[in-house]
Amino acid sequence: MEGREDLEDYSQCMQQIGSWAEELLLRGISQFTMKDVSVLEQFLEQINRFQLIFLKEIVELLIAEGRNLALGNGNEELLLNHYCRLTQYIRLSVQESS
Amino acid sequence: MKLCTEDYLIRHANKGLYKRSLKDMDSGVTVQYTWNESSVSCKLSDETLCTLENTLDHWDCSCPSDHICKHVLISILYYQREHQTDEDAAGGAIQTETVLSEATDNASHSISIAMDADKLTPDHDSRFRWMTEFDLSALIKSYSSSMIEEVWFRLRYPEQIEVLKDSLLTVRLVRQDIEVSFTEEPSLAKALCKVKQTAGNMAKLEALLRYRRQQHVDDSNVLSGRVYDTKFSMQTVRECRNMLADLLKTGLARLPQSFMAQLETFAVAAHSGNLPDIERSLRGIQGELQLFFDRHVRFSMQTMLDRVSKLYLALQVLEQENTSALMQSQLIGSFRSKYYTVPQLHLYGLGADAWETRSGYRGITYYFYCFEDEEIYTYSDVRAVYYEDNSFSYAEHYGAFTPWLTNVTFRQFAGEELQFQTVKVNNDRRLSSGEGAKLELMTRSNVEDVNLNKYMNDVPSQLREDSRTFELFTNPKERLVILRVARIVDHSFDKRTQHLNLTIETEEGELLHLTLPYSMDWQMMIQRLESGYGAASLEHFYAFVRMEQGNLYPISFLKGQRVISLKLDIGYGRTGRLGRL
Repeated sequence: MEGREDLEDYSQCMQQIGSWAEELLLRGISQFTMKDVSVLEQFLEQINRFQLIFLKEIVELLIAEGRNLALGNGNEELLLNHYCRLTQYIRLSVQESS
Repeated sequence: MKLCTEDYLIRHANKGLYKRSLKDMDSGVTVQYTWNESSVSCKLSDETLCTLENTLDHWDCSCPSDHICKHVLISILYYQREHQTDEDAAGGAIQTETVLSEATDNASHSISIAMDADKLTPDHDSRFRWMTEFDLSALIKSYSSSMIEEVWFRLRYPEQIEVLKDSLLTVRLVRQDIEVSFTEEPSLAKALCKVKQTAGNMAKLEALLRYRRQQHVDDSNVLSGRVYDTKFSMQTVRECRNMLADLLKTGLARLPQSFMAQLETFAVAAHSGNLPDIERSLRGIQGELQLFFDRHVRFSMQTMLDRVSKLYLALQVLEQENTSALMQSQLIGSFRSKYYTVPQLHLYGLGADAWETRSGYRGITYYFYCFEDEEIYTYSDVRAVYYEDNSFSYAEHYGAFTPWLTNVTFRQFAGEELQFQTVKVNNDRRLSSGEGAKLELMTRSNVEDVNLNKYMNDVPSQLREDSRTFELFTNPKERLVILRVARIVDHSFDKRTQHLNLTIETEEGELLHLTLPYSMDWQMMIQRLESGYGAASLEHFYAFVRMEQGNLYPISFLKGQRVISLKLDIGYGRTGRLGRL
């Protein structure tokens, strides 16, 4: 039974990240704030739980670059890059589990 | 170095010429030889003068013939007859190669010419080892990419080959009835084939590649490297990516309507910058964005995000210098894939489907099962409707006459059994409407008697596989299956998704849902299907279905000799009552 719960948690986690990404598309990357950083940090905790190493790497880069940007000296291009990768990662993982 | 054996000479000239030459010699023609620097002058007793060099590709004769003539053959054969028998008598171990190239050495009596294959050295297989071992890219250096492409395409169709080894290695392409003879020299130019010019060169390559395939050599890497053409405008790639970056930075909520015009401009730029798939993606984003601005129920934030981020990453990969030609060409796509002539196709109509894409195209696709390679072929009638003055009427196109037979409408075409001669086909098995193809209608077999092979066998496993494919940059392949249906159990209209769902029971007793998305064009079909439209009396039939991300979209129902294409037959006119099947 535990396995099933894990799977549900996993897809819920992917969905949450997906929703956050969609919301950011509406809002625009230039509106990235420290609040997003803390949201991402929460995701990171779950990601660690599932040991998704590649996703962890992407999110960590996104957090680092996002923090820089929110503090006023970031590189928007780089952030975009990580953001697009994250989006496509989520898409593939959703496809895989559906 | 050449082996001027009987078969070599016959393949170079022809049997008649060879025999006539022997006859002339029997009736007393003689030859006098003079050895020059790199050639031999041969004076025949009938006063004809020939000059031979070290290969049969170059020769000269005083007679008016453009092609290889009997005088050239006589010059070679006479030498064989007169001088070689001398050597034989001398008991010299005779090497089997003609060494006309050593003709500079006047005293050379090592010139010997093999009379037949019996004298060949025992390891004579090694002479043709080059055919499988020599570097293919060097062999096909002189071939243009379009020629290689066409030959590569032909390899997809089954063709039996017969291999005959004598002093030459001859590969016979059985269905096309073409023979290509390879010499022991690693070169396609030296190979002999009766078909001349481009067609001959292609036959040589096809024969070589089919032989290599038979010997389990995989050439796909070398060939694909030669086929892809990847010239494109880097500037457009950069500009497009900047524009997408702007979109992502600004966010949809604050995006001005004028952004639509920007997308249009870049779509045009991508078109002229030789970036077909980029253009398509831009138009896709444009279509999705229009839905967003219109606050349309079909708009999906997820699709939008997916389209934008995918294109963004694709453009970024294109900007990198170390991307391989194969990967680049996958990202760039192609405007119009090339079409190649196929000698014969025997097709079985499976129905037609009408569609509209978000990137602004409307069309009808006709589906056929092909008996030759057991695959599904399509013919599509498509119009771009992204400019306002363009329109496409499904009913009009469906009722129009086909380009091949002017008394057959597309409606009829969709449900017939056909035989095409010399029709052009592209890589995705699409048929071209081009001239030159001959179409013949045949008596249609009952669908129950047609062996639809993998499209029928494996439905559950295909469903499983469909849910497992995920690729980043390539579009998912359309998956088509044919279900054996016992009956339609239920139908319901889902207001939230705007889909009509048909629940069917397969012959195996499994319940499946078929989905028909609502749109203005198909209002009539949805209404008719909702009211049953004869569905109750329809039992034990086949459903031809497209599979997409776990959903089943029905295209047509088949039973006996008949087909009903759901959208086109039920949506228009009165002929589509399901009960009529």
